[in-house]
Amino acid sequence: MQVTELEPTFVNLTEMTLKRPEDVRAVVKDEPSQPRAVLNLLLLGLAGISLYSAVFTAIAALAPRVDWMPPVALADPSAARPLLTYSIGMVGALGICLPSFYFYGLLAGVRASMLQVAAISLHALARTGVILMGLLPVYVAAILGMVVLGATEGLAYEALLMAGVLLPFLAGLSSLPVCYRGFLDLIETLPEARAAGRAPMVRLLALAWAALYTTVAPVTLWAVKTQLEKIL
Amino acid sequence: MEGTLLLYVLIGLAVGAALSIRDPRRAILWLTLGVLFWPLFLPLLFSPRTPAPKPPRKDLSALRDEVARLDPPLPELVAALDAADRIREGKDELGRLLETQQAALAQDEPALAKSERTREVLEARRADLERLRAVRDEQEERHLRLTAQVREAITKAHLARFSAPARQELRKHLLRLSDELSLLNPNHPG
Repeated sequence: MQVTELEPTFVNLTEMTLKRPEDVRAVVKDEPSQPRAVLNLLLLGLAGISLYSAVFTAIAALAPRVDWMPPVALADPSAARPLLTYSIGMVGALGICLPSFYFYGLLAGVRASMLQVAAISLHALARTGVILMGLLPVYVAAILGMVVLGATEGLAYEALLMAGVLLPFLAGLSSLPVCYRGFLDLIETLPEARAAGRAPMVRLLALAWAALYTTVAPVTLWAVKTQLEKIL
Repeated sequence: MEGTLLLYVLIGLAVGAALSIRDPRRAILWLTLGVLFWPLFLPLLFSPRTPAPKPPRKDLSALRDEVARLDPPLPELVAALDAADRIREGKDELGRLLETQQAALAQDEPALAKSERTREVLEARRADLERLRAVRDEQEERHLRLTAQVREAITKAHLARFSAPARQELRKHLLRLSDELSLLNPNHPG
């Protein structure tokens, strides 16, 4: 392991998120690295979500429309709606949930600072971004395949578009183990006798995080979308 | 809704500006992201800018005072504290060496990674760093264990005034401590 590879730069964090999540956890735990890690993890998460939503916008604008999907045209400002809705909504939901995450952590007996909780949450967001970037080619290929084969009338096409709408959200939930591991790491800093007793609480904590984020994220996305419809 | 949005943006501007002042090299980035996502960055403002300096180590001098107040005096504890002091000095020295070596390696890494021959040197230096780190951690652990044992002995010495089993317990504890000290320093009388 190169010493310079552990610096929380954007490139290093991208590589660590892909190949060595344990190193991201080490960076997140390291107090002097936290400010840079927070910024770069947010940028990484935003990059993935923005890329996905930009491509999804193009798909929504160019592929045959379905009734339930709001109209999007690349030529007018409405094209920015999905991009901004996902980017602002997903990160905004995290911002709303952050104080609760912190207090849940305290309730579970974990000795964590607010910044550390923010860093752990943003690690999960960065992972979401990376997962979305990974899924994107597969999704585009599936949609293109349906369009080329002319199978855009059936239920499968609608289901695929719906999957596209929900994918960032599902990717967000799949990042939950990151939060779980992050909090387990914090528990390891407690004395052994207490740590053993706290482990089940961390599982509950992860569940509470998931439940909270699952509730807040769609509401935030909806609120951002409604406001953007007024502006754009 | 406009009022809420305005409030959000105003707070965001304040947070963004504060973060820009903290890190002027990325001022524009902080300002942009700060305005949009200030709830995530708010904790940054309350975190110390540089790692807080470690508090002066008073634990050993406080422990020495406590040991000196014990009646009857327990020379094993004084010897243990002396040993803990020596271990800490060694550990601090190793820590400084490790920092210097890490910085030097970080600087040399790009050049050393270029050819096969220099890569071997790089690997050897990394292995040396790992060994240094392991020895430092071991010393840290040893220091903690010794001071914890002294603390435990002080408690037992106080309890020993009240019961025979506690006195026996203290004797056993001091024997164990002496054994450990003789392992650390073969010249130790224990």
